[in-house]
Amino acid sequence: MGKRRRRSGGKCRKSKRPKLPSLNEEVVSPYRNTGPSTSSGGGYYQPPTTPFELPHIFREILNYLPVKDWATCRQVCKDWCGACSNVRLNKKIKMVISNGEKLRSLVGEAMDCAPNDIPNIYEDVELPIHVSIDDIPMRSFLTKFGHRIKRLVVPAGWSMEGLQNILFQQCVNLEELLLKGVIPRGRRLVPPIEGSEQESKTLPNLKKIVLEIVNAHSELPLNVMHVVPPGLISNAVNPSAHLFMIDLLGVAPNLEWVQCPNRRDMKDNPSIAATLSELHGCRVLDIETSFNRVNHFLAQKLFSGSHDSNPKLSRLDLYLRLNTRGMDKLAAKGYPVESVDLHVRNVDKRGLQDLLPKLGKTLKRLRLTVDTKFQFDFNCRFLSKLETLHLGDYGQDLLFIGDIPQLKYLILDGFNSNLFLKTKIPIFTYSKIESLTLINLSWVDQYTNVLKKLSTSLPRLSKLSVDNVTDTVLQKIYDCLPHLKELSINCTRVSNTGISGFTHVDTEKILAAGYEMRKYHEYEEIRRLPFIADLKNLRSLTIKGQLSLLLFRIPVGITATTLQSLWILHGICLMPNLNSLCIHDATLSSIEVKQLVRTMNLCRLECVNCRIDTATLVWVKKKRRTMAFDFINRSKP
Amino acid sequence: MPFVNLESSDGDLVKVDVDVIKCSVTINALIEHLGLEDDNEVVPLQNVGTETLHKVLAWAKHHKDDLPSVDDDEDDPPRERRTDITTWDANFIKMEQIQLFDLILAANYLDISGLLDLGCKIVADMIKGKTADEIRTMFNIVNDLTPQEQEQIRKENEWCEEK
Repeated sequence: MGKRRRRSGGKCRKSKRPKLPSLNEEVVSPYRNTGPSTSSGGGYYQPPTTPFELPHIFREILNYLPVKDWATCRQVCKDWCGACSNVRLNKKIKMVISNGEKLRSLVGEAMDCAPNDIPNIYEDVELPIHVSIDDIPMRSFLTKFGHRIKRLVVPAGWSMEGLQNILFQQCVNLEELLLKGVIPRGRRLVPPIEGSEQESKTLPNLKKIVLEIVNAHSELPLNVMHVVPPGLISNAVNPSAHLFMIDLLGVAPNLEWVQCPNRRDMKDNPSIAATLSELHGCRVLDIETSFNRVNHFLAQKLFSGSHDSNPKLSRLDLYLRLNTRGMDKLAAKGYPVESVDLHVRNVDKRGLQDLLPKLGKTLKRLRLTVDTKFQFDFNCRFLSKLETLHLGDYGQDLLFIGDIPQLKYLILDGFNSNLFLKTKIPIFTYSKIESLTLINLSWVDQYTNVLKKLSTSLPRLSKLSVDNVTDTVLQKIYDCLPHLKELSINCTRVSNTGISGFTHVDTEKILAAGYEMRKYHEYEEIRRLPFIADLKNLRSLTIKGQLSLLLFRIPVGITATTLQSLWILHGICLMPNLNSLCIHDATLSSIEVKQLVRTMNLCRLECVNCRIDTATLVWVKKKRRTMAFDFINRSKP
Repeated sequence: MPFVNLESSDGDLVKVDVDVIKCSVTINALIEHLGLEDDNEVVPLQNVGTETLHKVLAWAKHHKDDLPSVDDDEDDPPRERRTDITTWDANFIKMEQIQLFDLILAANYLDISGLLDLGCKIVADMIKGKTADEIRTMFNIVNDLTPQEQEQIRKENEWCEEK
């Protein structure tokens, strides 16, 4: 205590605090009207009696408040409202302008407008998709407030030219730009801005660019579909967004974070790589690209060259199909990267063998998508810091995992990823692996002893996430891995009985007998059943009706048999330590939700696509104020 | 060890170790400028009552060995302001509202930043989670906003959503 932290940037209050000229000289407050001292009259100075009368102290107090309480303070009285206006809050205020009406009201003098005199406001703005960039309200909004914006979310469908204009002329103080896709108007060529002086065309504060291409089918509300050009809606990509981004790279010298998705249209564009390699201060480079030539070029530019580019680069998420040469270059540089995502196919092992030791000192997260025939048969001890290993399509034995000392999270992805289990399960009694994600466990039906082996191989396993399992497998999991703390089932082929352990007949019997849920464990005929409650240590349970991951980036259209909550509930209610429950795509009635909340001592409940009515929602929130309750209903198209 | 005599607004004299009160920028400056020839020098503090002065001194004594404020490295990302309060401070600050206000005003007058911060945090905590009405009652404030103004502010507030 007592250490006074220096406030960042212009927020330093200490310097603004009026110094007392000399001892005993009175501090005259401009807030004479505040509080009880209003009665001061007759020219006599009344010393302040509350801290609210001294503006710098009042500011200090307001500074400690969250936005919500700060907003309440504005409603207290005139003086408080005034005091709140000049406070730069520590917390950011987000502003989402959802439609044209709101935009117009902000520009106009209408009553429904934002408090303009607050320094924080207009710093984080999301613009509406309905309003074109050339519309008058939008123009005047940007002219009026553009210079205050620090983080801007640009909707899909804006033209490059228009965007460029606002970036260079209005939003000059921008720090973060999130593009949801832009479209070219006319030629791609970057047009000169009227009256342009070359030197003014930089964005010195821009630190982060994120390019998001919307997948219109899933992410755009239906009513805006007509506004978005068809080119954007298709899965095919619109190249101009990338090109625009590349143009921006050139004018933002202090960029630290670049993120953009994979688009085929980036092909034959060496300028991307050239520009990227110039970004010396870049900390995060998150680029997904799959076109060989660009990548090779990019790799060359990034990882070779005379200049020591990017000394700060720490997280390299390059979704690359590196060829051997590119990998050589990456290896030669020896960046202190913590996270690498390599999409390596048809690559000779030697390249990887050379690369991994070079990254080994710092690498914490590795995602490898390899050829099925690829096999790790070399020592991996040098990956001394690796904690997360995500293997895609790997189909050979996993003996090498035993060499990685700190490995905690293992994800095996792809249809063939489980082949190893069929053949040989290594026993790592010293393994630190805590979390295992297995996709496509369908084959386990015939190899049920595999799960038994798994439990001895991975003694510390406490978190399991499985996809595409059947009832039998699930029962085996309950049986073989009784110590699990977290379980996530993407139950594509699981039935109600599989989850709870209760068959239809059982449930009927239980219902007929009228047993009370919380006393289930007292009844002999229930105790006999093998069911989910056998996982005595389970703290977190997730049940999803649909396959969550896209295998090979193609949506797999397997949907679950509709889960009936009744059976699930009857099983879950018996789990003594469960405090987090997440149910997707089940028919969960209001009564059942209520029963769940009453019986269980949950800290977190998430219901997605479960069709719960508002009254129940309100009831749950009232009943359990401390419980985190997420309720999402994604309407299916 | 040098001492200084402080005189409260109630006329009481309190003898204080200079080392303890050095956290007060005001008194520190005074000592530096005037110099203290003898221990009988009296510094009158017209805005600080005896009770409050003792409180301030208790705080100063406990914190006298704290390190002076250090500027953070420029490289560090801007951090959220610290809102944690030590147990000692939390116990120390348990007092009536009027005493708390006096203490804050005294800390301001004597320019003791650590104590001022503590006071402000406590007042902020008092405000947190309250409605406007509750705040008015708590601090005895008269609502001078017209219904129109209130409606206007309410609408403006709708724009403010914490990130």
